[in-house]
Amino acid sequence: MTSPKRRRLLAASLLSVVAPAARALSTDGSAFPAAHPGSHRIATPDRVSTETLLALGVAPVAAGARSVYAAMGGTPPLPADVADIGYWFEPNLEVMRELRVDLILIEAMSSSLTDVLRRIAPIFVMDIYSGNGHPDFVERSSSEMFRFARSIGRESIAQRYRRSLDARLAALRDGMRGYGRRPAFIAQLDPSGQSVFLYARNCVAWDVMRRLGFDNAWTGATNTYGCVQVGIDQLASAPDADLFYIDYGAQAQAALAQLEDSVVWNSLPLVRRRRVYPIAPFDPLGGLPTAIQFAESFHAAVVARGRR
Amino acid sequence: MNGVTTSPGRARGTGLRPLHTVGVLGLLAAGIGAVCLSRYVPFAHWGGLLSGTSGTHVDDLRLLMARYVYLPRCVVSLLAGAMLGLAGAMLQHVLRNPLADPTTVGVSAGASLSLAVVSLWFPALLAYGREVVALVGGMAALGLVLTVSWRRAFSPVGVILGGLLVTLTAGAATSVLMLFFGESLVSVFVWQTGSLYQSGWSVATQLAVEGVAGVVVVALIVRPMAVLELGDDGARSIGFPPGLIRATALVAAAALTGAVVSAVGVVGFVGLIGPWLARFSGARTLAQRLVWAPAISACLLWLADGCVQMFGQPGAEVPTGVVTALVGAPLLLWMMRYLRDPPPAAPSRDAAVPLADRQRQRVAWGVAGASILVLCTVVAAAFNRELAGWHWGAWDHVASMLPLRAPRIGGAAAAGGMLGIAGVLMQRMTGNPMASPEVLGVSSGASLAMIVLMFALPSAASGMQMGASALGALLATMSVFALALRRTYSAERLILTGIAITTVLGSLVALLMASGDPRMSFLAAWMAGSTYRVQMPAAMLALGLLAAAIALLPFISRPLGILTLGEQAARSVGVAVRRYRLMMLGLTAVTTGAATVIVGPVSFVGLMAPHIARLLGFRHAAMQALMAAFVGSVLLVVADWLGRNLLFPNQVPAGLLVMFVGGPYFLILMWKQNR
Repeated sequence: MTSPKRRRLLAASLLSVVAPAARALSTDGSAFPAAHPGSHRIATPDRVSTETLLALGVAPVAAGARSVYAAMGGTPPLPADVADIGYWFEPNLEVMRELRVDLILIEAMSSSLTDVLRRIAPIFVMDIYSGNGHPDFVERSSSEMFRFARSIGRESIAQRYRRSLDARLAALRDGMRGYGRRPAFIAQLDPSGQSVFLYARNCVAWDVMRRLGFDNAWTGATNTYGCVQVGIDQLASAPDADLFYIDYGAQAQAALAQLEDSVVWNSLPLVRRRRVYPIAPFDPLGGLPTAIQFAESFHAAVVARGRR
Repeated sequence: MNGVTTSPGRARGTGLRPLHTVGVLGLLAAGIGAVCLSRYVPFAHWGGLLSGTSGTHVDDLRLLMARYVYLPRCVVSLLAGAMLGLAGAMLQHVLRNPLADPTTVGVSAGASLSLAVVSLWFPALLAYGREVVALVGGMAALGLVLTVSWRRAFSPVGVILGGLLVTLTAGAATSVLMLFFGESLVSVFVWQTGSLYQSGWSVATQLAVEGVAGVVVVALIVRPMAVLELGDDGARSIGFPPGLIRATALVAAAALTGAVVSAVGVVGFVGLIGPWLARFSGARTLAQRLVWAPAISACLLWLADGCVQMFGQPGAEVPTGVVTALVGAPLLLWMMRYLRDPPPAAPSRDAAVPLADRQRQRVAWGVAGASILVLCTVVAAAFNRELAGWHWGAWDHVASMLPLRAPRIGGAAAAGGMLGIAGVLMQRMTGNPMASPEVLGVSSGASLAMIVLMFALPSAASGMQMGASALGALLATMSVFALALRRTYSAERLILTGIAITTVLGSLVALLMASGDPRMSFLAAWMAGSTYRVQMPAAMLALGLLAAAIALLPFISRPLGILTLGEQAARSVGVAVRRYRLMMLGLTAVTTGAATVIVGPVSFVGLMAPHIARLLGFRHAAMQALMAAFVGSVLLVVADWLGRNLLFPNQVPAGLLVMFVGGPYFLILMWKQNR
């Protein structure tokens, strides 16, 4: 989906955020639990749990689908020696048993697996996406990170991570001083050229944009995970907005080609004012580290857009 | 029409005319349409819609949206409805079955698969337009169906079975992609749900052109098509080759369907119910039905789409295709009360002759079957891929992994065995060697219940999910019972009902996948036949049920053998046909239901295992069932073992692997038959 080059750039920029925390950890020698007798051997089947654990400076012994994690621009990056346990919806039980996993960290989206996973090890469920959704993504995901960090005795590292995240968000916000702060749609274009998939309330994009001083232009309903599919005429609901489409390469280009022929698209205020811009892909189903990933993508997209 | 008619007294008694039906539906739809339009543009300014100028109070954007979003959508719903109705009327005539839906010939399944493949690996092709890609895929599927039914002169049974096999196989392939690449396929699901949303006139124009072309072709072949009512021999005797007529009509109907499907996605049941309503309200001749069915279908879809827009949340409505499917499924069951079957076809000779198997051969194969099953089980338990590569486990090691492997192996063996037995029962009861328990609707019932549970209680534990799907299986079983009690039923009707329900299931699943909710992956995995979630209690229960079913076999062996000879023959030797039928139907439903909970709704085990047992020379009913149980068990145990190891550490669902072998196997088999 995203080009390898962009992915590397993305990873590099994200690394620069996490690096201070990671360095601090490696100097006091507590970065990896294997170094400590009695520390946990943790498996993280889904991306939320993988990136949350890594952000706490602990490498899992086994993580779900390494290739997907990398393709979604997973941050922090996975160390090479972490075993792969396959797709998150069916994490390989035998590998977890072989590796003598003694704690499994999952997000609530996997909670229907608890009966199956209980046979391997105790389970810790983080609850970031549930019920009617939670618009305060950063607070929600960091309190869940803290709750887990307490249970493995790493609360101070969680706090340090949160402080570095706040500092980075503040820096990015300052970096966009002087840039026009119109509300913005975050959209995945559909190749049919008739509908778009919007990321708004409950999604990482909603809360991070707010923290960067921008409003999400879609204020209508979304699902638990903060997305909704709407017809393109709905983009007229915010005449003054920008539209950032997620740049999935050929798929996005095919969609744009279809849209260019559409009367409705061409009459949308934001199209007439030429306010359609690309934004680098981000993980719409992530944990707290995704906030940094999206913030960097959004900052880069706004800078590329210009001050207008 | 060959005995397939609605009860004529009913239509005559109510004095219903097709025009009345169209009038009522049309007025309703127009009323709702007017309300919807007034949301865009107040009534007083409707004049501006045509003249292109707006009054001072309506801003230009709203007028523009009404003209380029609302109005084309109305026209598309009318055109798509009419084309589906025309295609449905033709298919029902050509296939001599009032339950034939335009989806019967595999067009929509082929279109979905081609869209998924292109989106994943050739996204640049999408720039030519989704319509082209979907149309090519749909026509390829039709080509396949026509190829395999070629040698049977495109007989109704051949086309229906070919359509079912192509639909299921393409559906299986799509579900693999859905499982592993779901996040990149959201737009395919969005299409598949059948949204009529428009953003310009291009789709409407294209549909209009295609529709007119379709009408011209249909007008040319309407007379030859009417001749088919005389039966194949009758048609031949007055110089019309029935095969050629059917092929032409099928291609025309499928092209009409393909045009609609590629433009707006899968819109189920409209093409089935329109023609049926036309016949119900008194359109007797083919020509009458070809006129009224499109009119009624057009109004139906217009009405359905109006309701969706009126009651839906603006901008994020439930897709119309999903609504027609949800309303259509119960309607279909209700309709079946008013249909009479054609006289049952003579049972196929292949299944009918109960040869006495030689004693020694039977014992030898029984022993061989059991030892192969034991061997496969041992290999599946002990020889697997692990982190360091392939590993033949020592006992200690296997013992530590066994609690994880045993439920899956045991569950697979039990499910395979039960499907094998259910398959033999179905094929014997219907006298059709291509029948299979998957078409009974039981597995679809189980899946639907599971989906409802996921909606109502998203975090339900796996035990609850199993309970729900068992309950769904039971409900489906009971409705099948109710139908079977009412009158004799034909295999084709069961198959067509199966296809229709599969379509509902497909659009519901697409709706869920299109929502962007990641939890739908669990559903997708189960639907694809994964044994991942099977735990020891469920596996033990399934094995117990299998044992009970095997123990029952000697008791139903004799009536089963006699039933195969046909109902009359059975009655003449004093067999209580109805009671035995019900008993066997019950056994089929219970075994299919239990197996579905474990390996999901799609697998060809119930079709393949009986067939392989027969190839091995087992013709005696009970022995065939027993061997089919062995074969089914072996198939699923091996598939589960392969599934756990092929893409290690990822796991490929077992049901899907069987499907990939089974689908093509049966298509080839059909092609070779009647040589």
